Order: sequence, then C-alpha cells, then structure tokens
Amino acid sequence: MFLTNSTLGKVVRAQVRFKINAYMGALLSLIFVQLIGLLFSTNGSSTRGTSVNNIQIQVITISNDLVFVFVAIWALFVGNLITTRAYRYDDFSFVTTRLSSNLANILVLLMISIFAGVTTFLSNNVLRVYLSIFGSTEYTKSPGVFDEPFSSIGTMLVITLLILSLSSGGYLAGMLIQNSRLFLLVIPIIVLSILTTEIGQTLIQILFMNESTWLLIVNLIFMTIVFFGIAIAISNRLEVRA
Amino acid sequence: MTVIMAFIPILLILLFSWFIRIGMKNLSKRIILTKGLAKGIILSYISVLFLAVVVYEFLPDNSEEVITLNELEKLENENQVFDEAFRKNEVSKLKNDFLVEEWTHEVEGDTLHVVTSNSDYLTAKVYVEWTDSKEQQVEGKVYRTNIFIYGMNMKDRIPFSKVKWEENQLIIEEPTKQEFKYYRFSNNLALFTINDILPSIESGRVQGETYVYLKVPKHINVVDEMGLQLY
Repeated sequence: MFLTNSTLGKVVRAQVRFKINAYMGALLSLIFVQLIGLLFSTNGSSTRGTSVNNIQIQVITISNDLVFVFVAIWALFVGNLITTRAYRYDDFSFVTTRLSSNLANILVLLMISIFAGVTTFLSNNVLRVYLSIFGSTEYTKSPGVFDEPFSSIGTMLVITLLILSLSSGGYLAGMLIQNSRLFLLVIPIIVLSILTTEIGQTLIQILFMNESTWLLIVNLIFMTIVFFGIAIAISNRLEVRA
Repeated sequence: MTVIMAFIPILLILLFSWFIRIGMKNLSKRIILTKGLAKGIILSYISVLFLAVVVYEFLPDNSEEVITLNELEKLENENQVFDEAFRKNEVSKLKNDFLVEEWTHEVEGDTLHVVTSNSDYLTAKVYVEWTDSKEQQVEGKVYRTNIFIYGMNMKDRIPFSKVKWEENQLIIEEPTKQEFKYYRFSNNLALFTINDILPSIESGRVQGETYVYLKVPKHINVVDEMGLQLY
C-alpha cells in the first residue's frame, strides 16, 4: 500500500524532465560537433563548373551536408551512450519500470533530435552571413528560410527524422551490446554487410532513395519505430541492478 | 579495391567517434559546467542561429537575380521559340527584348566575308536573308537570348560574342577568357536531390546564344572562309 499512486505518464514525465537536465552535455557536444562541421563547410559542399563563350563559371555550393554528416555520427553516438550502465542506473532514482525508462529515453531522443534537426538546418545561415561579409568570393543571394518556408520546414523535418532514426539505431545497438558483448562484433559485420553487399545496397535504395519525400518520411518513421520497438523488447531481458 | 574504398568512410567515422569521445572526456575533466552555464551556452547558440537567419535576409543583394524553377522553364521556352523563329526566318516572331544592336554597313565591292575569332566553331548563329536591293548596304541585327547558369541570371554578367566590321569583313569575336567564381548557399541537403524536397533550380540551366540576322543584297556574295554553317 502506497500513500500516492503514480501513473505511467507521470513517471515518464518526471524522468524526461530529469534526463533533459542530465543530458545537457549531449546538447553541448552537439553544438561543438556542428561548429566543427561548419568549419569544414567553409570550402563548400560541392563545386560546379561550366564554360560558356570562353567564360569559366565556378559555383561553390555551401549547404548543410557536412554539418549533417557530423551530426549523424553524433546521433549514433548519443543513442548508444544513453543505454550504457551508468545512464541506465540514473533511472533507479525514480520508481520506474523498463517500459517507463524506455519511453522516457525515446522522448528525450526525440526532443534532442528535433533540437539537432532545427539547429543543423539553421547553422547554414551562420556560414551564409560569415562568407557574405568576410569572404573574398562573390556570393549569390540564394533563397533564405523566409523565401522558401515550406521547403525549409520539409528539409528540417527530414533532417530531424534522419537524426532520430540514426539515434534509434544507436539506441538499439547499445541495447544489444548491453545484452551481449558478442554484438560488439556482430553489429559492425551487419553494418559492413549492408554497405558492401548488393542486397544491402538495394535495402538502402528502397529506404532512402525514393522519388517522393513523403515516402522517405514514412520509411524513416517506420524504421525508427522498429528500432525502438526491438530495443524495448530487448531491454526487458537486461539484468537488474545488483 | 572497391571493397577497401567502402571501408574508408567507416574507418573515418570510427576515428571521428573516438576523437569526440576522448575529446569530450578530457573536456569534462577540465571544464566543469554548471547547469546555468550550459543553459547559457545553448541559449546563446540558438540566439546566434536565429540572428543569422534575420541578418542574412537583410544582406544586400550584390548578385545576379535568382529565379524559380517555373520561371526558368519559361525562359528556356522563350529561347526555343526564338531559335525556331530564327531558323525559319520568321522575323516577326523574333522577340525584340533580345535585340542588342542594330546597324547598317556599306560594303565595298561584291563580297562580304564572315570571319570568327574562334577557329573551331562559330560563336554566334548567323542567318542571311537575301534582298533585291541594288544598293551596297547590309542591314544587321544582333540578338542575345536568355542565359541562366545554375539558376542565376548571367545575361549581363557574361560577355557574349561581339560583332564588328573591318572593311568588308564581319568579325564575330569571342570574349576574352575570364573566370567567375560564386558562392551559392543551399537550404537543401545533396542527399535529398533525388527526392522531391528539392525543386532545385540549382542545376537549372538555360543556354543563351548570340544571333546575327543579316539582310544582304543578292548581288553581294557572302563568303564563309572557314566553312562554317550559315542559315
């Protein structure tokens, strides 16, 4: 018999609030990673050249691609990090179940991914301003956020979902490794197989290279749900704290 | 070899992850961040990002006009209509907006030479319309169609072929070699270029050309010494 009865929602909410404060370092490392990405982006993500009437035209495109690559690695790392024993033991400060702990982790990863997605997208503007003012090369006034609001929101959404799916992948990998150290060997083999085999390439094409963005969004959501679902199922098999 | 190449990005990712992990460990030992300081850094960063969005909007537009994909298609269409009209000698359909210059030139004798500064190809399209006039005057019009490279208006930026007279020679001069370099900022990830999230004009290109329309009296011979194609 307890003096207060707590619902799953209340427990999850309390855990999320605690974890957001506790994982502030993850956000700081994200900022650090984005700044490194921006530094590498100053030379441009791609260069195009053409020649017309004896005139050479070179256009250096500055986009979010490099920042995104760095953030993607960070997302995998963060997803994995919160499954480690030290982080899991933090949950024992609360009256908690495996389910509430997982739900809180998922919500925190979702919030962090939204933050990472929006800031990754906006970080390009810092480079725009810097290169426009201090750069020696001429620039073209490309469309900004206000010029392409729907496209910008769409891009932010996709970046966020990509980051979330990667962090869910990291989370699943972390759970598997916590379950058995054998996965430290198995996971890299699976990843390499996907990247180097024909079946793996086909799978990547089906998941990411769609004609429609909406299909990409659906695929990413589906992938994230599957990864988190498997992670929740696996976490129930973890040992209790000694 | 390709298998080895496939491993390189993975190794780089692992190296980078390791680098971040070690770096963050060292940093956390040396710098003790209070909750307030961490929040301050995050809020400052967000403020800088939003400020950059606003500042960028107010930056002066020192570049060529950037247009949308639909407008680009319209311009391409205008060029095609002009080219077709030019080839078919439908003078009334030649858009006056494309007219750059108009002149008359008095030719001495009965031969007009068309020469180009480029030895490989004619850098302008030339159409010769024969007239029944008994005079020595050659009328000419020079047109220049829309030119957009990677979605940027280059019409005034790129010098087109110039047409000049030297006695009985009509010389089509190619511009001197120049190089232009631009930064272009993109909201999109290259990763999405295959998806419809990128209705991109970044790869859009409308190839403009210089057209020379000549009205030459029938008794004057037009000699194209380089064997170049005249319409």
